[in-house]
Amino acid sequence: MDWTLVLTQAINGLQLGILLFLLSAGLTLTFGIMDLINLAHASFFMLGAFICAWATLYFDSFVVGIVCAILGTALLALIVEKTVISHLYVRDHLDQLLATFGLILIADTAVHLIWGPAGLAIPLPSQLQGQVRFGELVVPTYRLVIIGVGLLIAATLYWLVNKTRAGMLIRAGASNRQMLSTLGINVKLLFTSVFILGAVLAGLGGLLIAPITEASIGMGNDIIITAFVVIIIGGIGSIKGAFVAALLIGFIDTFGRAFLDTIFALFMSVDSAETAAPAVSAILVYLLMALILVWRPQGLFPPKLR
Amino acid sequence: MSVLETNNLSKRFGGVVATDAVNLSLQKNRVHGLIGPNGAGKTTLIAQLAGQLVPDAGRVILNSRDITRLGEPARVRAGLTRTFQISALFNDFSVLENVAFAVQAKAGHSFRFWSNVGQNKKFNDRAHELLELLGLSNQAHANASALSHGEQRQLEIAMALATKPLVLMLDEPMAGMGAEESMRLIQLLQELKHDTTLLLVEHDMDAVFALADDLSVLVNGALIATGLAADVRQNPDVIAAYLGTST
Amino acid sequence: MNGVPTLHRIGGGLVLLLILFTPFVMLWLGKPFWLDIFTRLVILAIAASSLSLLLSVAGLASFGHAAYIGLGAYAVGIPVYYETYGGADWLASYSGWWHVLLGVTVCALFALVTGAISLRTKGVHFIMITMAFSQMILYLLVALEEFGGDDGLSVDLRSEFVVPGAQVLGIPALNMEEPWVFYLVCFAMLLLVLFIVAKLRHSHFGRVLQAAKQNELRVKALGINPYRYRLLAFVVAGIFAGLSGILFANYAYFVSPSMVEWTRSGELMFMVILGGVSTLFGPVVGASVFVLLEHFLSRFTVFWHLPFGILLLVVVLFGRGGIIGMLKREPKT
Repeated sequence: MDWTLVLTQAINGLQLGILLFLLSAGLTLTFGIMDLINLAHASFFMLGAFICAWATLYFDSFVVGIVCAILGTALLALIVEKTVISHLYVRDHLDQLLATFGLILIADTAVHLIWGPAGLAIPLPSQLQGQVRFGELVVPTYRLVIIGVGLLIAATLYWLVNKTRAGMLIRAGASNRQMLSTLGINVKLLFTSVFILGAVLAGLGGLLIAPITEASIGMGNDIIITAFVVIIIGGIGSIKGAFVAALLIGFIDTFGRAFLDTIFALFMSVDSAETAAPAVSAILVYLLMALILVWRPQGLFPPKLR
Repeated sequence: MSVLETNNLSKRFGGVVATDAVNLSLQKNRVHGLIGPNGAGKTTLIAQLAGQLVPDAGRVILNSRDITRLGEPARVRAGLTRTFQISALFNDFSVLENVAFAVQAKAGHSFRFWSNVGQNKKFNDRAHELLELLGLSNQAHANASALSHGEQRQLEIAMALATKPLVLMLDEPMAGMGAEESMRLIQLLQELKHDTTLLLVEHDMDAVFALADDLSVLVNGALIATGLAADVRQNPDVIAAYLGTST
Repeated sequence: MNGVPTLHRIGGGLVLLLILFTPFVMLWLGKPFWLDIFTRLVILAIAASSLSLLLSVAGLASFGHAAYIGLGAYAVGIPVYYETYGGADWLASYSGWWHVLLGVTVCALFALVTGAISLRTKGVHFIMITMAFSQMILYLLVALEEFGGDDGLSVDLRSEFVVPGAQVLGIPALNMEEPWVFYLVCFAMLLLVLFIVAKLRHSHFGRVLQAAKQNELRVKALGINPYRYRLLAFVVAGIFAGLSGILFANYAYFVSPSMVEWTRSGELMFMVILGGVSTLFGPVVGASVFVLLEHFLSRFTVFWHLPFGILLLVVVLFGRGGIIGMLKREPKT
């Protein structure tokens, strides 16, 4: 076994896991607190990437791009929450899903109208373009940045939810919605804030990955389903569950794609291993989900009192 | 002869004891009243008898058969049926369809795909009989959600009866009923005990005393008295703990 | 028999007649491409009707229905590919009977396994799990390089339905390559699916599903565990959607993983909601409106998804009961 390769893949897995966490944290928060299932989360992922790409090119600064993307997704989230989402809190999940699917169609077309059908690449500042060496291991600097920023955000979120008054309200709201209004909390304001927080996290995920993949229309539409798998496995509504499951999936998916053919070749011919491995690694994450659901239908960390 | 009994049935929620080693015994063709102050654990007890909650310890025995491990639907098929405190009806069905569906549930499996169930004479006839019994015949084709509160409670009982229970557990059947409706229901339950055995959880003490042959008093999850209704009413503990304060 | 269902039946019959004859009238008027559009419309109406068995009758919001269309389609694509280019003799065939057998078996098994898992959950869990399982099929198909991966497979010939002995009796074989013959086959399949869904809806089985949709707790308290009934409904709906997939592969002469994208499932769901749940013909009306709108809007602008998204929002936010619901405004009996 080549340990440098394993380490490289571990870093890739960590990066995917972090990205998934950024996306699923918002999903699981909005579900836990507002009982809202929001497909349009995928659109904020895309919008974060596009706004960042546009602003980076326009102002010739990645940092300005990031600031614009955060402010932009926050503003858009505010508008969408006030016009559409706030009417959906009292609706059933199917209505929420269909309406937010409508939002995805609108967002995808709007991006197409504004920036054209092709994607936008984000040029990285030269400081982030290099590589870092750890002995034999060579890691692109930007990957380390993604991981660092992601972990920082995870830690901040943990602090916010577990140690602050706002976090206490969020946790109280997740377990008992009536209690909030009896405590004299402005529920509307809380819901709007949480929605914007979720959207910004998704936008951050999008803008972080865009320098690697470039911003493209519908870029969030597939990864949102993987984020669903994350929160199903983690337990819908649980931040901790989302974090654990996101890393788990990041690693399993990455290692599956990298090493499954080698593992299969141990007990079947190299030819059949090379045919079977891509197919199995493509569905590995879903097989994991199925197994966990058989064992624990509510996920690994189901929030209490629900 | 005892139709339904529990042996040391116990249930805790975290640190709270909801059911404390309860030994309950229901005699055939009698009405057994179960009373107790709010929060005494009556609904939790019923839920364990019905199979919605799994007890931590103890056994439930129906007709000498241990049913502790049976799920809810299986218990109903074995002859133990409940009604709900809050009416639980099929609101898109008509009154007749509600009862006919209950009859269908009793009639065996429903993996039948071809014939129109709405035109099943056997189900509809039996459903009409039950509606007649409960005095709901003239409402048969109304939507279940259009019934008055009291009528919904009656429909609830009609559906439970359709399953031909050995033991019927009634969770506050009189709640929200007018005096006249209550009187009729008391009369009906009086007649029902010839065919079945009743466990009656009820706050309306007049109804309980009018109906119950036997009586059990639940306080903080434990039975503080159980036996013939007349004896239990004289029990000083019961008077102190419960009857004395509420009357 | 009261008035409303009868009216509904007449209305539904009229819709079906309109669908059946319009392409022929257009053909006569010299616009043959309408046959193509209506073939697609009928195939999607089959898929939407199968979904309505889950959504309207059983109240199960399955958001992964496109997976079955994809599985059905590849049950045509793969055997035809092998028959044309050689390999996997046991699988290779042009026979439509084989395609149907294969498609139905695969869809039934997939529905059985994923249904058994997802039906243990409720509400939003169920929605998301069905979605995830269909995404699994998507990635599986993408990973199958031999069948074109992302690009899919072209289907060179349509399924052949040869009835043994028919030629001897002088009955000509169905020529599926003939567009109007193929159209009539699709339409007949729609009628069959609608008939079976209607039968199921009013059967003992259907009543259990409807009751469990309204009040699961009560169904259990009457001695019925709805799980096995729901699982069977899940399998039946999967099989019907698979049939529509078989037809779709024949229609498009092409299969690809994009048929399984969750947005396709979303569109199917939209058709059912658009037409109005709780009616037999709702999904047919919904599929018709969807396909026709898509046709006109996409001729008008490449940005046709924008008005579509807005329509979807409006229907969900304001139009409870869908088109049929708005037309009918059924008085409470």
